[in-house]
Amino acid sequence: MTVVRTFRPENRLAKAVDRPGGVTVADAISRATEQLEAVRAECMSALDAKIASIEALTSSVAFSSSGNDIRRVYDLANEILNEAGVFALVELSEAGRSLCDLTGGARKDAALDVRAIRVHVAAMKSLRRPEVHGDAATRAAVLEGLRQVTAKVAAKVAEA
Amino acid sequence: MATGVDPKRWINLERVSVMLLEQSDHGRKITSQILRGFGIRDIHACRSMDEARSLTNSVQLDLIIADPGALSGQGMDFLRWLRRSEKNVNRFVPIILVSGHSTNAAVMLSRDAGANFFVAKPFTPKVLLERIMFIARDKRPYVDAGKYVGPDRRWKGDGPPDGTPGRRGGDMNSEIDAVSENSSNLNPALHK
Repeated sequence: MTVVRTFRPENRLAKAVDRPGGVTVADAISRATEQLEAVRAECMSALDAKIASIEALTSSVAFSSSGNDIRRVYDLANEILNEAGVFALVELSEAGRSLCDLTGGARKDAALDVRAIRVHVAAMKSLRRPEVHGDAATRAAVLEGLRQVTAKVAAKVAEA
Repeated sequence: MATGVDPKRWINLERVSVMLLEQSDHGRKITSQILRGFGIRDIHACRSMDEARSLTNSVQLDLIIADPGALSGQGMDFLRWLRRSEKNVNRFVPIILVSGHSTNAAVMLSRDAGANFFVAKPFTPKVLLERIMFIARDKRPYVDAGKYVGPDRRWKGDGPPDGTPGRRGGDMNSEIDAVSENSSNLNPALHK
């Protein structure tokens, strides 16, 4: 019979938080936001590099829409989702999520049509262009287009 | 969402030691920057399971923030390993799992692996600080039941920790829950 032990380990975090000194919660959040701004330019370049990596990967004749290649696309899309979202690039983050939905399902199902990934890459690149980045209506239209692509792919998978 | 933390409250995270486990270089950088803004100086950034295991064997930590998804699910393995490592000084350290593209099943897996909290990415500094403060106030006991080691998963009736408003209309504070027959059966620690 399994013996269940219940106990309360020391919470060092709780003790640390209440030490004298430090900052107010509002100041901590404000400083963290400033710290983020300090790496914004670097992170924007990294986002562009990740989009380019997906494009290069899916342009290769050796690309396999199942297995490790698709896993790599999924991981990059997940990073775009996370890192664009932190900097309030909502539509780019959602495009990353859409590509995750697409490629996450592909790992379990049949090989994925690589054209659906390329559409996502094209959308991400357009969202990074200044004229699109500054136009909320265009950004929304790009995202809606992606939703339609993902819905079509999902319908095909369901039929198969 | 209500903040849960008084913006005027003073906090001191200068002596807190944090381990970050995340594969993405920029993901680690972003979270590190946020933590530095909070005043945390002792940040150990790891990009692999091996680095993380080695660190937990040698450094006393106060908090772990790990992204299990970015390591092809290995982050969850790390969590299970740590909770079962009887001689590891960090066995019961609070762990926040952070993940971008995740499913409800992944959230439940993180709970069953012994995580204290699951946070959906992308997160803002405000959300991350709220979760850190939530864990600092969390009075849940830990359970060692052989197959499961970690914070007590049975939150029925407990509501969110004292002083926090909860994140849903059904969340109640513990004083109310103690006498209410309509207490929430929801675990706020697992709400994304």
